[in-house]
Amino acid sequence: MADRDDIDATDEEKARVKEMQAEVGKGGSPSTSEVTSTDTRLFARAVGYGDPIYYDEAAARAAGHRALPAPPGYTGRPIFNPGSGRGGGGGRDPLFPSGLNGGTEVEPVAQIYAGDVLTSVSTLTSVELLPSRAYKRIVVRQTETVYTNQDGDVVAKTRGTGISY
Amino acid sequence: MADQTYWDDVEEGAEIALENEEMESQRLVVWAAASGDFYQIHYDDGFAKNNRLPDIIVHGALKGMLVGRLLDEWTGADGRIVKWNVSYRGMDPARQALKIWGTVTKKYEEGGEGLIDLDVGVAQPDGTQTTPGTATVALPKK
Repeated sequence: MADRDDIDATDEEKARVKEMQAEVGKGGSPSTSEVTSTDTRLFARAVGYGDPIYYDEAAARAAGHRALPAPPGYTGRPIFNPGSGRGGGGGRDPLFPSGLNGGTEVEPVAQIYAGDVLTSVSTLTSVELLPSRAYKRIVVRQTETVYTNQDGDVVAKTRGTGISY
Repeated sequence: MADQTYWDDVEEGAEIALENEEMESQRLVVWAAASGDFYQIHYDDGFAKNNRLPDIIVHGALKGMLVGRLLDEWTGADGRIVKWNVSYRGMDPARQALKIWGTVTKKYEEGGEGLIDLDVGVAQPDGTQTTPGTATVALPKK
């Protein structure tokens, strides 16, 4: 990635972005997520699904599912532990403390079911420092996350765009 | 459950949609609980106004998953979503009905499978588009 000279960023900010770029291609630590029937039903309700297979186990089994299926895009709930530093909103970079969700790609690979336990690994795939009319400069980070179930099968891949400023 | 859509019956240019997805504050709170995104701009009026927003705003991820629902309901029990993506280009204030839409852009076969590409997106009642994307699905053949 070539540096751009027209970006209104401090030397400290540019150095921080170079540090981020050095992490591109490296996978992060595995993270565990639970898939509970309560959560898959809640997800389905929020998104507005009406199909009973997402709520009623008998309907799900009658349709050939082994348990309540999770709607596409649902990838479990990370296990919250206040002592682990996960799930508490931490991890913000002091030089780019605010964030926006720039976009998402979802690739469902296999059906996820209530009762599954998913392990995910996220890999930073690109980091760019770009000019911004609103924020002078922004950092755009692309990440790919691969989700594997308890049997070792890949069940989903997601790609996300995060914008920090 | 909706009737099964077959690849044979789909034509390029065909349109699909969830016409009126109401975005009341209660729905955004349910989504916050479902997703774990508890940022207050999505449910706290005072917090949103203090951040110079016109109203609480719809979570981007909820819009993305509504596109997923549109595709899931269209592909039916015997089809599948290959992938979809959306970009969050603008905010959608809550307390309005959004249209979640898709337009078939390409119909083709690959490895014996009937595939469909679509443009997808989210439109406000005045037609403003905030969440453009694309999708690929596989549909059964007759």
